[in-house]
Amino acid sequence: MRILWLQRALLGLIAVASLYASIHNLVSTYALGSIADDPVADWEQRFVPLKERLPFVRGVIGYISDSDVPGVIFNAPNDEGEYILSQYALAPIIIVKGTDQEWNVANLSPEGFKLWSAANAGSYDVQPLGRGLYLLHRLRN
Amino acid sequence: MGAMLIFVPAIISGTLLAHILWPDRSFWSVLFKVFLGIGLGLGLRSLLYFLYLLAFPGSNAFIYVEGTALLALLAIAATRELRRPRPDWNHALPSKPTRIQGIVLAIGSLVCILSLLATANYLLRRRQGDWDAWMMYNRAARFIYFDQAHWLGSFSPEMSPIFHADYPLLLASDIVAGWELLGRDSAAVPMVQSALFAIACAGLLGSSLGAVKSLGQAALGITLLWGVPVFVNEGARQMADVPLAFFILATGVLFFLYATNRQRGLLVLAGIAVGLGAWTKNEGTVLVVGAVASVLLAFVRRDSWTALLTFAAGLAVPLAVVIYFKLFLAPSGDILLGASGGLAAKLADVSRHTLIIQYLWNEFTAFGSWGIWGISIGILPILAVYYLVFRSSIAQNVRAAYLAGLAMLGIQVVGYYAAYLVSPYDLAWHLSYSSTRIVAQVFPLILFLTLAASREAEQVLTRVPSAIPE
Repeated sequence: MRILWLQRALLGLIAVASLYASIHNLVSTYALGSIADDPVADWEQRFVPLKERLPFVRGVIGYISDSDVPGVIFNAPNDEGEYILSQYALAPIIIVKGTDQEWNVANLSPEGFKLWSAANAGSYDVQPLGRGLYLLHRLRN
Repeated sequence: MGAMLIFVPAIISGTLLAHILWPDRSFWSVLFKVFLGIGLGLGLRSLLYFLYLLAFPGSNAFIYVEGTALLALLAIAATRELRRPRPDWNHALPSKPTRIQGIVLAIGSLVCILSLLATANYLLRRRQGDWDAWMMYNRAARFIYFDQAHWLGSFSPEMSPIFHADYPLLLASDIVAGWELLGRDSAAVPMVQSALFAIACAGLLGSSLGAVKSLGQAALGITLLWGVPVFVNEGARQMADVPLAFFILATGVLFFLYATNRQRGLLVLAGIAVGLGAWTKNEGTVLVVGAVASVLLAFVRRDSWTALLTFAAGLAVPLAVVIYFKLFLAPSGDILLGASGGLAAKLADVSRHTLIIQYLWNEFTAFGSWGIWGISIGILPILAVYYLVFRSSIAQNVRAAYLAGLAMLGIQVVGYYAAYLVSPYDLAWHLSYSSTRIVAQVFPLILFLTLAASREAEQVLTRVPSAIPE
């Protein structure tokens, strides 16, 4: 008889706890932000001018961000996330880290761009695209 | 709406295939086949689209391929149904629920509705999915869709290993098939795909418990699965863990049904599910090893080698595609690359073993916590207690099923352990990033095996236990 009540108590606990957790989880999803927000789509929008100016629709381009510029303070997880989002936005173009390609994209803070351009003056044709994005075309030496 | 409709032909095809291979007409088995059909349909469409891309890249004619496959399956199923005697619907339909069953069902339905709303909310607020979704699956889909004629460039060795271009293509290929049918790339397609796998997983668990136990146990299974927020949210993140959980669960349940029914079609379906698991994620390769070992352990001795051959018949095509992809298209994977460097040192490093065991133990004790009253006890210890309190005697004919399920789970856990041991990443980071998700992959099967081996919920709640309909 005792085991029966233990079983019933356990079933009751599962029912109450599951309902509570489901309600709590539903409420917590509202904290994820507004339905109107789509940061990934916004990020993609940022790359539209860059895609329009590239002379090809497939291939490989270089990519640099603040983490590639010595002396710039950066947030490592954000920097990594932006790199991944940039690849997502630029598909089917492959991005590789560095500026060894003929065409490169720079995703830099104002300070990062200042330091990078001081160190690389005359090596690239730089097209500012707004919101910290630059298209870099390697100049022939 | 269009993004939902484009999944319908695949789901019907998957359900028809399941019915052709296991033509049982009882209510629970039909329901089971509908939910199984969701995952099978999406997975097989992904395979078909991959083969279509290999043969006719950029031809924009997949609608005819999928339509032909659907019509062929429909013709086979209709022909076979017409040859069979008319169904006895009184036998096929379930008996009217008792009051207690009604209450348990109402609680399960409420949890289900709340979790569906949470899933919808999550999806609408993370339209492009979470980190891994836009790093791997949705990214791969965009590479293929935006440049179909040159889609093989998606696997260029120039792409950083961080993007996991070596990952199997079930999700990506199915998304591209959806975009092609829809005529545009839409975030709604991976959103619906993610929700479908989550619903299919819950439905498969519920319908299989209904088939092997009772309505009350089915409702309890759904309550336990979707009453766990971490699993619900995982199903909305557009990642591959819930789809893999679906195929692991489907394999375990099909083995269970085969143990009791001995219908060979169930083993063929299990083979297909295992192959699609391998087409979903790299961890699915471990599922192949585990499932083959399970068939050898549980069924070959009982039913001779034909059991293995029947299982292999289902596994062959999906596995051949996975092997082709891995051998000829995919770049080397990060774990394999990592394993090749300093392997002996990693295997002998006691601190790595300690850290992995520590993380896995933490997952065992805290995974799926309900988060109430500040208590962080997870769902797995609760299930262990549940089994001790509710356990029932296991019939001789299903012992092979438990042996198969437990062998699969054991090998899966050993596979995860080995992958962590040779991981090229910072181990603490790798574990913290993925250990919860790997438990999510096996959680539905653990839940099924526990509830299938326990007394029915309504038997405990009814005043006169013997008065419960099956």
